[in-house]
Amino acid sequence: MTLGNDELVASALGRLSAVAPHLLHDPDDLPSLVERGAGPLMLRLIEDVRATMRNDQIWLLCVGLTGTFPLPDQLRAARRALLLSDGDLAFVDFLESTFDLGAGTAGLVSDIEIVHRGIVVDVDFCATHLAHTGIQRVVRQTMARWHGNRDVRLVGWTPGGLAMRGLSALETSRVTEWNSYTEPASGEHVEEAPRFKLVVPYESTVILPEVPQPHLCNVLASVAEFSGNRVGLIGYDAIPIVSADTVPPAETERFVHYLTIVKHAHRVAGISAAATDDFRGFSQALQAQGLPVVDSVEVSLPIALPDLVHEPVAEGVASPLVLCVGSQEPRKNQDAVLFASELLWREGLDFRVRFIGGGSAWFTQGFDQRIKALTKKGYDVEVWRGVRDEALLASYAEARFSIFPSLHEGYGLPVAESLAMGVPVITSGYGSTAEITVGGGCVLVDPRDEMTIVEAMRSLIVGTDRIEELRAEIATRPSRSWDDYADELWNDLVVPLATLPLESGTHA
Amino acid sequence: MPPIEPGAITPVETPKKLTVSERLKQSEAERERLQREVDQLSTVALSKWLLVAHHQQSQAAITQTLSWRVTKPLRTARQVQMKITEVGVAQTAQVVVATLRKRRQR
Repeated sequence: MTLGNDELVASALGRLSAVAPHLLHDPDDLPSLVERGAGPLMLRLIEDVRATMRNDQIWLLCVGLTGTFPLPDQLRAARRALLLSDGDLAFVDFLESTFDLGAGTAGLVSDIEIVHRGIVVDVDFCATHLAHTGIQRVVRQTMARWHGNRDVRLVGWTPGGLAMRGLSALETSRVTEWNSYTEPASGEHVEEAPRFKLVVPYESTVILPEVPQPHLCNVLASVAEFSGNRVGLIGYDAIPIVSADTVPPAETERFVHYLTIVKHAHRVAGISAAATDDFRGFSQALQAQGLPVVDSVEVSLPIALPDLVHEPVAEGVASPLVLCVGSQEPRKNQDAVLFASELLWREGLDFRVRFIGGGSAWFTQGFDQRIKALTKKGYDVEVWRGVRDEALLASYAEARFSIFPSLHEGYGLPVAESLAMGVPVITSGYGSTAEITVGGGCVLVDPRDEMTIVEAMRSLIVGTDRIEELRAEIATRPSRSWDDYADELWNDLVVPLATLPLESGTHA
Repeated sequence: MPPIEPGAITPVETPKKLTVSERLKQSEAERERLQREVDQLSTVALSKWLLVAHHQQSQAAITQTLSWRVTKPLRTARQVQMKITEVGVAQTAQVVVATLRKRRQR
């Protein structure tokens, strides 16, 4: 889109007018400055920002001028230009230093809305994708409870990650009403996202409940370090680093960039004690760089189900179902489950195995071949991918027990869901999965010792009494719902950030 | 030099001495005029910056499109054709070889 000069100046005047109340020493001057035009307003803003040289103000001025969130290097360049310039030439020097920022993006035609001292929640991935595995489940369950009940602003990102933007009604629905949400048919008219109405948090609390996509890491790191906003995030796990041998190399590289945001964030809410320890450990390491320790707090995920009413499944005559839920990858140890199952089938035990969950071709190609080979031998094993919550719950209801012998987890949502359905679980006896099992209903195994998995499966397939014992233990477990989690996350992550005094560091 | 007729000389009107408040008004008017000029210049400078940045962005958007990238060989062929017309086949071949070598080094 090519605009005329007048439109560009009018657009810039609109953005500068929006940021001006937060930058002018005397905001009463704003009407007369606006009347005089974009140039005089910009001149005054530069003059006033130069007087304080606060990073958060330089960040906001860059956003006002270009309609784009600056990257760390771009902000430093603008800061240096202001410091080095002779007062009279500050205007020119600032424009020169921010030229690449303005020329590299479509932000010059954008309008902006400042969210001052508010709560902004970045749900970009859930708003624009249909994936619904662990992280997306947490985000959608939490946002369904915050949206409408708490004063939060849900945001996504403009294409290319230039700046935050508001969500369309459809995107909001994708995040907050997942269970009743229906994706429009192709060709159906859909309201466009307001791509060029930017949302700019200032002196606000920015919450990152997702693991941001790689292209957003640098710009979010800049928001955390320079913008004066307090950034808090949900810490899921550090698996791509501490168990790098179990994930594709690209995953580790992506996570390293994500840690740049964590490095400058203000608070992390770990989803389990184990995950919180991982982030605390990383935070401790930052002291070697002279950076402050990031506050880490544990807010464990609930033992709860998706918000669906599930119909009880009548006990059938079919053989017992062993359910294994989770994305298919080496870390989740599905190959050990296949091995144990084959051994038990050869012994003559009668049971079915169902795997539910997606996975990247990197692993699933080989996994599917192993499934095919077992099916050829006549064993009852199947894989369900891309199923909705209804099918998942129906499978839990049908299962005799579930199995989740993961090598490393941030939490272990399938264990919690199984317990919430009253279905006994075989899972790993350490880390976050062991945390969940406190309270009963589970059989713990060493996931690296496949024979312990074989023993545990055998005991639950043949031992009806054992299953009943475990079911009884589950019935007495204390309950913890998604409502509890959403409230606790608000109180332990958002409230402390919102009441945190503005840091002197961002104002230096 | 002809004699000057009496009464032909009219006294030169000396400028009226301005009062302080009049001089102040005049200065203020001048200051406002200069301010308007500075305002205008700064707006012009900003608008030029916006226009150049916007055009650069638009150009980058075009050159990143698939159609621009897939038609690159056609543009290259056209450039070679024009060069041949200009300097002949032998010299064009030298230029092409030099360009390819440079690219390979990069």
